[in-house]
Amino acid sequence: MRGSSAPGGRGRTAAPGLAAGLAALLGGLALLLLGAAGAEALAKCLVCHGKPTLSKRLSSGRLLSLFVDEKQLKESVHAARVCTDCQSDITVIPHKGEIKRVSCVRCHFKGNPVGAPQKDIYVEYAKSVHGIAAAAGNTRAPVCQDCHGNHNIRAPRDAASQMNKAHIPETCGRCHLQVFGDYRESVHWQAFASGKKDSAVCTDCHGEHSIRSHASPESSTYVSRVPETCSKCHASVAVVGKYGIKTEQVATYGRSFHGIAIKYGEKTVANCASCHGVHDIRPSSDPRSAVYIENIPKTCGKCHTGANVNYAKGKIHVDPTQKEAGAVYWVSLFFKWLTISVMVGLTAHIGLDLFRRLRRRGAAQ
Amino acid sequence: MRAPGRPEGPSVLRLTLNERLQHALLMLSTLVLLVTGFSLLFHDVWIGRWLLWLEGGVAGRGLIHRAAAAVLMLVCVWHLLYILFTERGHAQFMLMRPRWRDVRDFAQMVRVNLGRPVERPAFDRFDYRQKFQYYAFFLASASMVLSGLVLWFATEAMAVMPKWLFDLVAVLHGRESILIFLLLFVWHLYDVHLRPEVFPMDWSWITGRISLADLQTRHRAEYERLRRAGSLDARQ
Repeated sequence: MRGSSAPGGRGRTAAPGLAAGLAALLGGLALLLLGAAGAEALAKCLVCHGKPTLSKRLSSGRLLSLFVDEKQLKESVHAARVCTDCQSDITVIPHKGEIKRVSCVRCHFKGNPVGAPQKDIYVEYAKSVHGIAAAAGNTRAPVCQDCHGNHNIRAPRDAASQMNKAHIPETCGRCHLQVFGDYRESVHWQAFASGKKDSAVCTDCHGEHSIRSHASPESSTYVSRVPETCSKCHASVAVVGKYGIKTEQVATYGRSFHGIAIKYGEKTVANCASCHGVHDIRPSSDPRSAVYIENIPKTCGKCHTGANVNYAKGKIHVDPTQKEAGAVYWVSLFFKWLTISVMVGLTAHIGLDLFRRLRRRGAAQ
Repeated sequence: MRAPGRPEGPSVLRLTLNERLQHALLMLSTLVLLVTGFSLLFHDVWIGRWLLWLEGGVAGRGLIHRAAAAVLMLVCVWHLLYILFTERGHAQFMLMRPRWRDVRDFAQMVRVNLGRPVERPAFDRFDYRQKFQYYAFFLASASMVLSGLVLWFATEAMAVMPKWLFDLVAVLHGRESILIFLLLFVWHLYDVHLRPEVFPMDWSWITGRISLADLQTRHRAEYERLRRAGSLDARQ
């Protein structure tokens, strides 16, 4: 490939054309040699690691498979890499000493010479709940390969990647089992599984590399940032509108006592999740939903001690300017016209009063 | 030197200290209630955001609003006791009652304003405009206090009223505040500040006094009544 690009120098001045051709030739040669060396190195490793039964008993008692599927590796983004590119501490066979976890930053750093992708967003990981736990020595906290995959690593846009949107819930669910169970019950997963690819998976609410504990004020799931997070989709006609979901709910919440209080920093006031639930959000028509009409007293009662059936009598997301608000709409309309007519009457009266004075002044002159 | 606002020439007492205090407290509480209420009503524009910041957030705003509401309720109770149980208050209230004559006065005043050759109506102690203002604020205070109490004691209110009625009360409280604001700032402001006779201000709410000349032109019927009764001899 590189070699064939040499004629690209045609039409330019001779010297740069020659230099480019030479560089391409050298590069192609290097790749060819490396590729051959890589194939050789991989074949060497696969003598043992190509056996599906190869495994190791960890000190925790868990059996760790050491099998490497060559086909999987060849289909991954690292097809051209050799084992020791990542497992750099392995120098001899049989391996000696403790074999450390692979560190992806060996290649994935800014300005790296091998062209490994590096985005600023990766740096966010260090400040994330996962990164902080990992740095503090928690061996169960995920590092890059726990989410992105190891030998099977693919670009997230690849449907087979475990970081592809369709696989995010099960990838996160490998550790967050309980949450995964709840989420699978939710309207978000139901919609996603039925082909509505706009529906929310874990990362749409929690973020990706920057994921933080919901207790952190910087988290997208922090108590006062939940409305903003939900509104990314639920205020957008382009996203939820096409599924017949109303976007006004965000605006009516914003105008409610709850919405205003949360905007001005109150922490003990209801946000979207307080009523609708978190991972197991269900449609209001579902009897197991927290906002199902018969469950409303109980849901409101979480904060409003003694909430009774009165709380379910009337719309929750009320817009006084819409007819469906019922009596509230009519009162609002009544006051609108009362105010207009009173003001017209009073200003007319003031106008008349001034008219007399002006006329009198005119007559006096 | 004349005290500021003190009428020139002979004058009579129009508002007693008691009445002036009622008015001052009503004015203060209403202004605070309007400002703190509007910061909630207009929370999503700069003026609301700025006011809420001044008031110490939504919690501080609520506290100030309720404190002012307590003052307003105190004035309301004071006023009711005043018109029910004091001779002066009761007499004033009787003079404030709406009469058919107010409708005739209004019609006549419109004709005067339009330039018809009719005489200005001889107003008594309270003319139709003043009565309109009194009853407008009477009704407004009553409905704002009642709806405000529902919002103040939301949990207790929701124990007995359905959510739609609570929402209705909340909307009424907000929409009516706009009407009250406009009544005050369009009508009352014109009547006591901008009208050429009184500009820049009708001082009687502070001094309590009205000059005999003003009494004669603006409240001729009252002037004649007092003159016949000989009360004007005690002029100061």
